[in-house]
Amino acid sequence: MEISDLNIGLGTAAQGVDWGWLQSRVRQSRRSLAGDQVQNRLSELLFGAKLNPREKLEYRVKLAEVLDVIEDLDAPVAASRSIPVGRRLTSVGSLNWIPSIGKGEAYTATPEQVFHKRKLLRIHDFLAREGEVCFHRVAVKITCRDQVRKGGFDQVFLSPEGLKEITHPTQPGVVSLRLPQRCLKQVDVRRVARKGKTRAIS
Amino acid sequence: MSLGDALYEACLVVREGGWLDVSDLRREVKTRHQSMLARLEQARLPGGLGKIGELVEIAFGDWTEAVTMLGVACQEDSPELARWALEKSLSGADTMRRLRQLLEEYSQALCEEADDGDF
Repeated sequence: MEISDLNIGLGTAAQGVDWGWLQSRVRQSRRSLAGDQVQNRLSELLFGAKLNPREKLEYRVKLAEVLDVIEDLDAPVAASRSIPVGRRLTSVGSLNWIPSIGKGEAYTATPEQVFHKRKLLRIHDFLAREGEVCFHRVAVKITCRDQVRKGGFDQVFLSPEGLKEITHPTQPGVVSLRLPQRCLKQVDVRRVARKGKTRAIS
Repeated sequence: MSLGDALYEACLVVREGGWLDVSDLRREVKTRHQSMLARLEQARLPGGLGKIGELVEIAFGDWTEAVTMLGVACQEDSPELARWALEKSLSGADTMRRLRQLLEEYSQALCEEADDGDF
């Protein structure tokens, strides 16, 4: 699979990322190659070399040293400062579905639910499998310091299956949305820029 | 948690939509890479074992790329990219695991020869 198959909008990616490099690295994944290289080169060592007794002794000692070095890789690594998905997702208020999914009903879901639904709703898969995608433009409102601000729009792609799932009568409706990180940054910038002003951002 | 495991876990976190600061991992990979190369150089390996260094380079190359991709996945908020980082991380771990396994076999074979009185 090519990275472009992921359909994640690389063409509109932020500046500073060398997508050509990334793509080339993905294309030449060396997983199997590296394995073969290890096998071939070590096999040469194992079966190809004719060593005299003195050399064998030296090899034995050196191999023990190398194995010690490699074993040190097992030394524990400090845990990364990671933020699991549950805490990272941000509730940003109510969503307006355009066009409306139901008849005037509010749809609610936790950020996690929306995130996982969207993960399920891989556009590529749906195009291939269903030949049909329902598109929804979602208006995002952000509540900040007791003010409701328009946070722009996001796009949600739903397959018929996804639509059915997200509007399932027994599931809670959608009230919040996971914003991309860059949007969160923008929101922060806006908050700083608008510090002290009482009017909402349009 | 070993370096390979830590990288693997980090890739899973990002793939599931989480976020992490990759600077610690990047530093860890770089430090261990440099340390390993220095120790291999100090060991003054005989010519026949010179390829070990190349294989270590391949493994660390994959791990370095995995961390870089992970950084891009976090920066761009694209959990999908983490799967490629995961591939690279597994590739590095696989190379290192096979290298270790074969060196152990080789070492074992030499020990058995020595026990048999061959040298």
